[in-house]
Amino acid sequence: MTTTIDDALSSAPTTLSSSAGASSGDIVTLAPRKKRKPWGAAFWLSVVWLIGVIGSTIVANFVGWKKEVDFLGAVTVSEGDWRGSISLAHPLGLNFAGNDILVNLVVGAKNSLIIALFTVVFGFLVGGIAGMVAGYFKGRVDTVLSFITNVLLSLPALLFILLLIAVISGAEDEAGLATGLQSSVMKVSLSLGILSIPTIFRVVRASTIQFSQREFVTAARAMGAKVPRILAGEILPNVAKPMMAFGLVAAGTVMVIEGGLSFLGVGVGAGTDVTAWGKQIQEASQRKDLESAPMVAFIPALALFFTVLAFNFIGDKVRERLEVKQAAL
Amino acid sequence: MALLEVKDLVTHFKTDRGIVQAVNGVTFNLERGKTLGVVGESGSGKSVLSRSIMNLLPRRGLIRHGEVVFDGKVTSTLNAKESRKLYGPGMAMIFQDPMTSLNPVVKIGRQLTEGLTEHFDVDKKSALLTAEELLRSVGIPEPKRRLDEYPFQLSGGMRQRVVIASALACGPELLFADEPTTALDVTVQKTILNLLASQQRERNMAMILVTHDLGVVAGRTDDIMVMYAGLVVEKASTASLFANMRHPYTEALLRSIPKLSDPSHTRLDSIPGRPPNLISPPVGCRFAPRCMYADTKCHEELPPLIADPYDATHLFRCWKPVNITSRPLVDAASSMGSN
Repeated sequence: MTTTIDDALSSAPTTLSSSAGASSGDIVTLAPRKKRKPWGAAFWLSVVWLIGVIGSTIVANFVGWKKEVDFLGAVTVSEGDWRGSISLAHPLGLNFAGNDILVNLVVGAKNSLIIALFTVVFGFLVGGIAGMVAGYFKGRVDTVLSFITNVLLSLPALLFILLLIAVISGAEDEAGLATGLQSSVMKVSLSLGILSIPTIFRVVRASTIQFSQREFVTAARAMGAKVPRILAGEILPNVAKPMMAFGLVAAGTVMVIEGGLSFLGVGVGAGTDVTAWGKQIQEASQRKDLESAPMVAFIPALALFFTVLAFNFIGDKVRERLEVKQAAL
Repeated sequence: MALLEVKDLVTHFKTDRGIVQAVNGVTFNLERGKTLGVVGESGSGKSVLSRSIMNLLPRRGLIRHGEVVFDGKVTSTLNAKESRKLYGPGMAMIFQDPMTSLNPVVKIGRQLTEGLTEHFDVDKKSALLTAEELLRSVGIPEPKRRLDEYPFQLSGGMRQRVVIASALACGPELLFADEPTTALDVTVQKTILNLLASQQRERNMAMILVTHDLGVVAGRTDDIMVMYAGLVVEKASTASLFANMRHPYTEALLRSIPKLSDPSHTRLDSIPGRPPNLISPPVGCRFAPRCMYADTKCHEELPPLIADPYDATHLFRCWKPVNITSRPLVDAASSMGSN
């Protein structure tokens, strides 16, 4: 170690032993550090929660649980007596319509998740591809695409989505049948997907511009690679990883917005039996009995809350991990 | 016939501040199996020159004329699609920094096989076998394992070997090496340069070695072209250039390399001033503001590229060439012959 002669002379035995201690300490810090931070409890809890939600809704689908069927044949509770409706058969009690809240949750999760998934996938397919093309070619292509997305962004989001849902639903033809898309789940996810295009476009475009200026893109061109190959093989792997984190957080946001749409009467299954978490919260909170049995609204709200939180936690961790890897380069 | 003929190549860029005159009328020929060294400071236009020859520059705001003839075909007028066919088996380039010229998130095996599957009708499996063979030929131990690794798992020198392997993959006739050792350790530089030289000999490939370091090209090139502010200021065979350099800039470049024979604590000569702005270069000789021999004529009139009165292949662009009188010319000529 770097103990000088002066040090050794001034206080001989003690410094020697302490410097020996310090040196062994130094060796510990020199040893290769653990490569990565652990994922952490929050991440694993989130994963477990999401697996539980997804798994249960898949199982429910196979078993054939339906919202409108009280599969255990329980009697309808007197309104407002949520606590009294809790039993072994109904661990989370019954709602105001006499349906099992747990069954409702599990069945509703399917539509909520489908909307989140479809919206993000649709947004990334359209907005992501447009963003990569704009970011790679720049110039006129970029000007046109950026202009379109800027117009979309400048429209008030709420009005825009009401308009989209109306347009997608279509008008009624002479026979009185609606001409547009029938499934409310698809209607909501398509409109939310369209709404998400500009944001995703901007993020992907910025990321693509950053990577297309890197030398490995020139290197690929110098090897004779065609543009689709450069976009898919060189730029996409770089852009995709940060986008994964963004997509996870976006999925959570979409679920919340879907809940909000139910309150506007344009959400999933408005006026039908189709249910989703947003609709369940809305239905319960419209009743005056909410005061006596707030849990009927709170349970789906909590499920939504934990799911969104789980998406955000996982998204955050994924982003953190990728940043570490970027720094190691 | 020469493999590559570059005739009066001009490459300018339109920018918001004006036109950047990066390359101004460069002319040279390169034979098969020969090496040309292009030497100059950063900003002298040497990297732009190689990218311009390869049609790799972004087209927006690009002003380019002159003619590039590769293997008997004019290539300077090709569009992006046509020039793609040129790359790989025709021309290839090794980039300066292996950290940035390899894709950080793509496995080495895929990066090496991309060129092969693009240009030849090979399946993935045999392309991977070729890639393994390539890695072995550039001296990478355990090539099979490396194919499955990412660039960050390799050291800088190993990465540059991978870059070289990927440039050699399609067996190019002409290889551009754009400062291939600048980002590397001094100890690794030599092995990389030797590797390039041996690969060049084996494949009878022509090479353009771009560098800012005269020490790198000494003894490794057949001809040397010294560039300053987008102009060729001196061009000669390597032996002739080192024996009687004519341009004060070449002389200054050589003096700014530390020499082992100098006593320790010798102050290293540096070139005063900075390279000129390429948007509005000096009127006369571009080097005049930094040249210790410059007089009024140098500041007012751009010297033409003229041949040495004693050696027609030695060209320089200077009104006041150095070493003309100080050295007996007969000696220089005979020493050239012996090299």
